[in-house]
Amino acid sequence: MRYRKAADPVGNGDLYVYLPDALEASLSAAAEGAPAAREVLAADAPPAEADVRTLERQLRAQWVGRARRALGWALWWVLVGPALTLAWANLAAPISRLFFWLPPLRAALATLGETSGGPLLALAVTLAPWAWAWSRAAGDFARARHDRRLARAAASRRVREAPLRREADADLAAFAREGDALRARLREGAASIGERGADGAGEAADAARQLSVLAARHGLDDVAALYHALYTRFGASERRLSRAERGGAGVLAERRAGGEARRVQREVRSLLARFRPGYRPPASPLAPALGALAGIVVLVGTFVVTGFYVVGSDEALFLDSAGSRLARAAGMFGLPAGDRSPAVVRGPAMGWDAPFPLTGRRRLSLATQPIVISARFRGTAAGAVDLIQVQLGYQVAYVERWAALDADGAGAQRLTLGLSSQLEEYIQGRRQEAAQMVVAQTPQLGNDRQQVMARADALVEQNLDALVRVFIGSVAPDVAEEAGVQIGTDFQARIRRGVSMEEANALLGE
Amino acid sequence: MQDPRTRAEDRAALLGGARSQVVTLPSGEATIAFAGSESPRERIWVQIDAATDDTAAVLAAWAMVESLLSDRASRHRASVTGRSLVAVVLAPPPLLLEPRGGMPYLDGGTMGAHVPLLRAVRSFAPTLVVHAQDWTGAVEPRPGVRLVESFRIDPSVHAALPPYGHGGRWSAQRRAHARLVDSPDWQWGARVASLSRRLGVPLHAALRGAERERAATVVHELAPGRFTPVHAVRRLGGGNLAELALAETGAHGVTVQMAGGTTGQRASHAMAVAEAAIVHRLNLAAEGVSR
Repeated sequence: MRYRKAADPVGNGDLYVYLPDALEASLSAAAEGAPAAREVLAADAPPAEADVRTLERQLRAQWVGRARRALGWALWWVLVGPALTLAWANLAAPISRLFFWLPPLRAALATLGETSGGPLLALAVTLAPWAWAWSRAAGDFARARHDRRLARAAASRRVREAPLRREADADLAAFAREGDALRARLREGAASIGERGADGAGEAADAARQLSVLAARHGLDDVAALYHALYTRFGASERRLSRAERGGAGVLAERRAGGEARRVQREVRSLLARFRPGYRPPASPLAPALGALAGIVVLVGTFVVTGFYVVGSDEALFLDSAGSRLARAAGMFGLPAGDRSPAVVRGPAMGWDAPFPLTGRRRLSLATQPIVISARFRGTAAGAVDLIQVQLGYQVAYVERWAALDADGAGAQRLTLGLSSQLEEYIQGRRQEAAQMVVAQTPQLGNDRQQVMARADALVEQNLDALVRVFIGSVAPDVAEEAGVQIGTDFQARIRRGVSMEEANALLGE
Repeated sequence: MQDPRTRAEDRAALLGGARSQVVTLPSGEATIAFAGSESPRERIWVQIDAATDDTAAVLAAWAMVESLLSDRASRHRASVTGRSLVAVVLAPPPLLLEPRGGMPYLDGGTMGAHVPLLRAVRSFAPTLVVHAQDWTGAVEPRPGVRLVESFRIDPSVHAALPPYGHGGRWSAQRRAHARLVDSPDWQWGARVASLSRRLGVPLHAALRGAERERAATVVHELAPGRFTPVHAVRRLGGGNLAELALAETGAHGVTVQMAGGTTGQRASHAMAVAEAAIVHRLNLAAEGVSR
C-alpha cells in the first residue's frame, strides 16, 4: 500500500495520492493472508504518520459507506422486483391498446405472450422484470460484500500495525521541481474558466496532460493517473464550453460559461477530496434502511394502485380470488373444496381487491355478443354434409350463472355447443315430420325413401327461417336460461353445402 | 532499396548533418533521425515497421524525414519543427513474422519493440507515439487500415466499457462509454481518424458478427476502424510498442495496422495517419480554421 504526498494541483495543501484499484488489490491480497506493507513517500521531509492514519481511517469509512450504499441498492432491487412484475402484469393490457393497428401484437401483449407461446411464455414474460431486478440485487449484494471485506481488511490489526515506511522520494522531488511552472499554469487556467471559458479550460487541460506525462516519465503512476483524470475533466469542459461559445456571445453564453466553470470545479473538488486527509466520505448507516424503506414504499404503492378497478356500465368484472382458485385446484384432485365460483362485480362500479395475478380478473361485456351455432342437416356424397348455420346474438342476463359457466373463460364456446346440439336435434325432428307429411300427401312415394327425404329436405329448406325462429322462441331459451343468458330475436340462417365431416364435427365439439 | 549496404549510404546522405542515433537490433542497425526544437512542447516518436517486405515502411519513413529536414515550402513543417521534436525510426530489414490467422490487433511487442529500441524510446520520453505496422505478406490481405489507440483510461471506466457499441440504455456500460467519448483523448482519436479519412486512408468499416465477437476479447471497438485494448489486456501490459510507451512514459499512442494494397498506397496511408496525428496533437488544424 503506497501513498505519495504531492501538492494539491488546483488548491492549497497536500494530497496523499494512491491508485485506488492497486490499493484495493493490495488489501484483497492482505485479506487472503499476503504480507501487508505500507509506505508513504514525499518530495522532501518524510510525512507525518498521523496524516496517513487519518487517510486510512478515511479509506475505511469510504469502503464502509460504499458497502452500505450497495446494500441499500440491493434491498431496493429485491423489493422493487415484485413491484415491477405487478406493475407490468397489470399495465400490459392498457399498453396493448396502443397497438390497435396490429391486432396479433395487441393480443400477445395483453395476454403477456400467452396467445403466442402459451402459459409458460406468459409466466416468463410476467416474471422477466422480477428476474432482471433480482439480478441487479445480486450484483449489488456482491459489491456490498466486496467493499465490506475491504473495510474489514483495512481495519484488521495486521494491516493497521504493519510498519509504515516514510521516505523522501527523489522522483517525486524531481517531478515537483520540473512541474512547478506547469502546476502554476494549471491553477491559473482552472481559476479562469469562468472568465476565459474554453480557453481557460483548454489551458488547464493542456497543463494537466503535460503534468501527467511528466509524472509517468518519473515512474509516478498514481500521480500521473491523478493528473490524467484532471486532464480528462478539463478537456471535456473545454469541449462543452467551445460548443456553447460557438452558439454566440451574450448573457446566456456567460451564464453557461459560469455554470460550466462551477461544474468542472465541483467535479475536480470531488475527484481530489478522497486524497485529502480530513475528508469525510459519505457513509450514512441509514443507507440500507433507506433502500429497504424506498423499496417497501414502491412495493406497497404498486400493490395498492394496481389493486383498483373500474367497471363500465355495460360490463361486469369476475374477481377470482386466490382462495377460490386454490379450492378449484383442490377439487381437481378430489379434495373437498368450498365455494369455487368467482365474485362478480356489475358495472358501473369501482373498488379495490388484491391485484392480478394474485386475484384473477376477467372483464365480461354485458352488451350483445354474436355467436354462430351449427347443425348437420343431411349427408351428401363422399363423406361431406350440408350444414345449417345460424348467427344470433346473446346477452348475459344472470351474471352469477354465467360466471359459473364461464369460470375458465370458455362459456361462449359451451353455450355455442349446447345450442348447436339442440338445433341439430330440432332440425332432425322437423325433417322427420316433413318426411311423414310427404308420405301422407303422396302415398305412392311410400316405398321410395330417397324421394321422400329429398322432398322433406326441400320443405325444411323452404321454411328454414320460420323453423329457426321457432327454435329461438321455444327451444333455445331453455339452454340460454341454464347458461344465464338471453338469446336475441334477430338471426341469420344459411345452409353451407358440402362441408367436410371433420369440420362439421369440430363445429359441434365432437 | 533491399541492399543494406546501399541503404546505409542512402540513409547517411538523407540525414546529412541532422542529429541521429544508431541502435543495434537483432536484424541490423536502426537509425533514429531527430528533427525539431530542442525545447519542445511535444515529443513525437514515429516508427514504421513491416512483417516481411519493408519497402513501403522505408519509403514512408524516408519521405517523413525528408519532409522534416528539407527546405521545400510546406504547410505545417515550421510549426511542427518549432513546437515539437520528432523522432523518426529508419528501421533495418525486418525479421520475418508469421502470425497465425489474420492481422493481430496486438502483436505483443513482436513488431518493432526490441529492447535497445525501447531503451531509446524511454530516453526520448515521447508524448505521442505513431507506430505503423505493415503486415502485408504475413497475413491474408484485407484492404484498409485500422487504428489501435493507446491512451490512459480511468480503470473503473475501462473495466465497465462495452466490448463494442454504446452499451445498453441506462447501464453502467453506457455511462462508461459516454465518459470515454467525452474525454479529450477519445476526441483526439476521432479527429485523427476523420482527417485520415479525408487524406484518403480507407479505415476499416465497423466489425460484424463473429469477427466482432473475436475482437471483443482483445480490444474495444471505439468506432469503425478504431480500437483500444480491453482493460484485462492493458493490465497484463506489453500489448504493442505504443502500449509499452504508454506504460513507460505516459505517451498517447496510435498503432496504424495495414495489409494489402500497393506499396505506394501503404506508404501514403502510414504518412497520412502520422500527419493527422501530429497535426491534431499540435492543434494545427484548429489554428488553420481560426485563421
